[in-house]
Amino acid sequence: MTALTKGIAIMKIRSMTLLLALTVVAAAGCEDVLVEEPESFITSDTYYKTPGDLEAAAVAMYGLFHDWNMFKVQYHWTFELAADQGRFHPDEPNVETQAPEYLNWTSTSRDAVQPWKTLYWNILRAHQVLDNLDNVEFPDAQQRSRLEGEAKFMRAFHYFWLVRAYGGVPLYLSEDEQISVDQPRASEEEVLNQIIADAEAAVASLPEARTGAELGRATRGAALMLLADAYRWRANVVSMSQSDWQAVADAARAVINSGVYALEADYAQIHAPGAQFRSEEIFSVQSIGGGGWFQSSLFGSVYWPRNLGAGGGWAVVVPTPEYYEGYIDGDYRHEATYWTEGCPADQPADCESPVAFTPTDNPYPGGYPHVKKYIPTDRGLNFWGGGDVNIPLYRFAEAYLLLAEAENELGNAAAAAAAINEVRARARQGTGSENRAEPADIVALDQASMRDAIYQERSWELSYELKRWFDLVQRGESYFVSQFQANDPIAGQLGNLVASRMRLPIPAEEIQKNPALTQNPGY
Amino acid sequence: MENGQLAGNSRGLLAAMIYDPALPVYDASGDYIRQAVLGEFINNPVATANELVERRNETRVVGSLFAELGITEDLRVSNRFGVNIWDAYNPFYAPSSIQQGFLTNGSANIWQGRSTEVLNEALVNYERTGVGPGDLAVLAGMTYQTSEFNFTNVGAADFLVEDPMWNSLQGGAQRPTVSSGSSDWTLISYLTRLNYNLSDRYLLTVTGRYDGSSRFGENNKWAFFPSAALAWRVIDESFMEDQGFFDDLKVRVSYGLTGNQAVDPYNSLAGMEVVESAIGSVNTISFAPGSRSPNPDLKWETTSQFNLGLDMAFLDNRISLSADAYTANTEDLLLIVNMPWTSGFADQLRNVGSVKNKGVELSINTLNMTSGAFSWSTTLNLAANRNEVVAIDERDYIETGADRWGWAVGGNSHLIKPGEPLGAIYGYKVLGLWQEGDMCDITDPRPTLDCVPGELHIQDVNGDGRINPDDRTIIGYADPDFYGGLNNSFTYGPFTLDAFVNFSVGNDVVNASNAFLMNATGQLNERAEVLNRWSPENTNTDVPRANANRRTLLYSNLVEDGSFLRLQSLTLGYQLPESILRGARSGRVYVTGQNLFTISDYSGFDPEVNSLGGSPSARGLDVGAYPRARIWNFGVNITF
Repeated sequence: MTALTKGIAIMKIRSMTLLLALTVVAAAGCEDVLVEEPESFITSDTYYKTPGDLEAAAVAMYGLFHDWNMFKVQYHWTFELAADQGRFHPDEPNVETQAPEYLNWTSTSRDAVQPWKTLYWNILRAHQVLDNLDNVEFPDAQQRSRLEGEAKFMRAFHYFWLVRAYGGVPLYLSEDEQISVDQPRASEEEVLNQIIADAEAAVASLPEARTGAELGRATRGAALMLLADAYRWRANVVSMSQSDWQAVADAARAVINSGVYALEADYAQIHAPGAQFRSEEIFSVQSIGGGGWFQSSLFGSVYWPRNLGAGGGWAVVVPTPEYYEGYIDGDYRHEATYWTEGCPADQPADCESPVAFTPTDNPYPGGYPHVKKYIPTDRGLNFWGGGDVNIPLYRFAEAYLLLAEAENELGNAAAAAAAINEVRARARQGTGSENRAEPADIVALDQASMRDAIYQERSWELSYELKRWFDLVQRGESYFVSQFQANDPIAGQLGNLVASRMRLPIPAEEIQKNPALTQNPGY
Repeated sequence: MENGQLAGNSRGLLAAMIYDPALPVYDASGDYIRQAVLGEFINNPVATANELVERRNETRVVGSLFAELGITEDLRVSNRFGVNIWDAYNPFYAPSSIQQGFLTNGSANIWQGRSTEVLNEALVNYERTGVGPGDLAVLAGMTYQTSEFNFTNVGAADFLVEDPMWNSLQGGAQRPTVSSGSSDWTLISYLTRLNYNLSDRYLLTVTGRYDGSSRFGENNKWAFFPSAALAWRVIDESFMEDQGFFDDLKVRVSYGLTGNQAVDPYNSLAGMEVVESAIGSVNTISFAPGSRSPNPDLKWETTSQFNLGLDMAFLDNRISLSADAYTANTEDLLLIVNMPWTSGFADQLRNVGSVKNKGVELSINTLNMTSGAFSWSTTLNLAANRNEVVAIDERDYIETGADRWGWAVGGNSHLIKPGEPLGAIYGYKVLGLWQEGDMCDITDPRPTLDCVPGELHIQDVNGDGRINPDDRTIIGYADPDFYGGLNNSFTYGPFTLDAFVNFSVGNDVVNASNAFLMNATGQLNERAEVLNRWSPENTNTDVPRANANRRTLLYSNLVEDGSFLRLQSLTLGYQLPESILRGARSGRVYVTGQNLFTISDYSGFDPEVNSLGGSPSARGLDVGAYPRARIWNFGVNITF
């Protein structure tokens, strides 16, 4: 045997050993080897064990607010452009972007698809909390009830957006139902009843205030605002019932009397950047800027001038001339809401030669106005991560306006006037200590005129805060149409200014996936 | 504007095509004009092409070790151990001089990934002649394959000094990107194969494999896949001895099951994703279910295939022919299916139904000419396949395609529907343009669109008197009627010339770029053909009138015949004479040109594209896809 062949023989024997060893090891362990044990993520069936895990699950519900297709951008695009206060900038060419202006959405438009998608998505996150409460041992029973209240608040909050945008929607009340059942649409009333039940549970268990690491999470005040808002919708759209209006008044008054909130002295400071939960904020999407996508707001870009030079800025929504001109002369909120020229972000805010906003050829007297309520600290230098203006959802002034409306519907004209005048008085303070003549106190109006005055006040006070579209919808067709004719007549240009457009179409793909769903009329 | 995809994705050809052509590349001070801001924000394509740096460095290391041992004369055992390591380092830099880096004052990123795949194959071979009337070969064994992948992605932005690009991330004031991940999978197979050769005329092969894949649900990891094949060498039968026509004649028949497990791991698990939120005025981390719904019942996709084949050769083997016909039934088709959004999930990987394929394949080799130093041979391959969805679970049809890839065409682009081929193209059927005097059958016309002269006349498919998304229908098929390749080889002395042509006939392609370029909406730069748009004076045209209210949807006028014939490669080689090859056994120099010309009526750049990746259920969509390159290779082969 030569050395070479001997070497090969030895190798063969060693290989044989290796072969047998590998085969035995593999065969013995093969069942285990095929069990997937991911190293880079956790799984939900094993995750929820401690109260802390459920606290994290609750915090996850707020993360989605910063999704592009939710409050971060899309909802302002859809609902503010649709409403009669806003119009797309003439340099915005895209018919898909313009669509809400003309109420020109279809069952495949993102305006119809994205709210549906994102709202149910976050309802699943609420169910992650609710469905796992019983799987976790809570040494502190209050913590459990706080979490339950918070998740119920969030579920109700999202169903409220759904029911207002689409009408009756499928009502799923657990993760299992969401995944395994194809439900038909519940009636609008059934959805509202569930929202009210959840919101009431939340009112009973949520804390008055959140501080420190919990800042930004739902409070009792937020739940009361939602409760008042939901009763208001039920009263206006479904029940026309006095007891619902009483419930609106009670909830609004509970917010006002809680002592937690106060009106900001200067209307222009309500949405001031950088400040997290000032006295007027009840529920907002917290946005701290600092470069992180999920910590910063981008909705300001929807209003930001296209030609200011820095950052993003699409000016998708500018005021309609009719609405812009309709403010009471001298109302401070007009100057606090609009600007017609500004300084680029790389220059000081009071630069020598501000840039006038385009187009200069415009239908407005004076410069071309843009909405300036949401200017971040870096003035748009880094819109993609610098947005530190909280996205408003409920704020204290609205509590007075809810109270005013409820009292008026209950026939208490004086109480209604007192509530609305709180809001007007603040506007008269201007920058804080002015004493303006307008908007003067409202005195002694008949019920119908007061109703109009309250809706008008809401439109000025809460402009571009995702309120107006739903005010138009819940007051019914004749108001809806008349307001568009007065404030935004081009919305009717494509013939869509009809009652059926008051609700978004159910996404076509969704009906295909769940044939139990029916389309809204007119689509 | 909302075409975030369009503007954000403006690296490629589409940006160059839709960019405002009146804008200069540079402004008066010599800086790039970063964006077209009037209308859609499109990034300056010249700036992108010149300044954006994106590199891909990939290394692959392959090694294997083989050992074999003869136990007896008939029995051998062997083991093959192989490793396949892939390593990638992909840096990226967008300088502040262009739009992509302007907002962040320079943006750098490094993506690093590595996958390690290990395969061990342990086999036992038994071969024995004269078992009964024939020869027997049996193989049994086990293979074990496992792979681990991990990646790291780091980025920084806001650079005081931009020269180091990604090589000094610590020079960026912001560190927006930090992420990492890992995944692995394992495949174990027990396999056996039996060959029985009866008098060299009847060849029987029977196989069986029992496969276990980590990617499937806990109770569905294992599946058994048997097959059997019989070949009859007719030419060797005694009754063929007297004929002189055939040089070869063989009939093959086979039936077998195969499994497919080529899906991402972890689809059966309820994976959670990291959620960031600003709660507490800081970035707070939490967890929530991912967008893909877990499917604990996930199992193997199985295809049973019946194949009939015929091999022939005649005229002294100058012509040989191989023909196959097959039918293949795929059950438990693995497909990512959109979930009802009310579930809170976007989609789920499912075993959705069954698909049937049948087809024929033909291969002909001919030696056309041999004369002294000259020879010429030809190979022609032809194939035709017909594909049909037989059944899908639960739903009437499944939508897939564009929306899944985030490209909005007002819904999805493809349809999976029983009775139709997998991934039929789905959209609005355009019957032509409305002309003055046409009878309007739309009872609820959309203003400025339906029944307006010069507008697209869209078919009211469901006849409800209005045009809406419910009127979408099948408007094309990406599958070709037939396809194939033709290779001609010429040899003259030391010279060789090989020309390979491939072709496809009857496949539809959606030139989706034209949704932007031919829609006459005035949002973007458009094709010159838009000059021929409809007007009261120019009614004999396919191009609709100018109208900013027309949506960018998947209209059937975007669907084109994608048939083509391409000179895929041409190679000229020269065999080096032995006299100049000292110490080498042989040597050859060659030059190859690839993709030299294409004959096609397709109006886009390249009919052989697929913007949605390789998914068989969403083919034939071209959204500014980059055409394939023309490549020239020069090479030297020396064998020692």
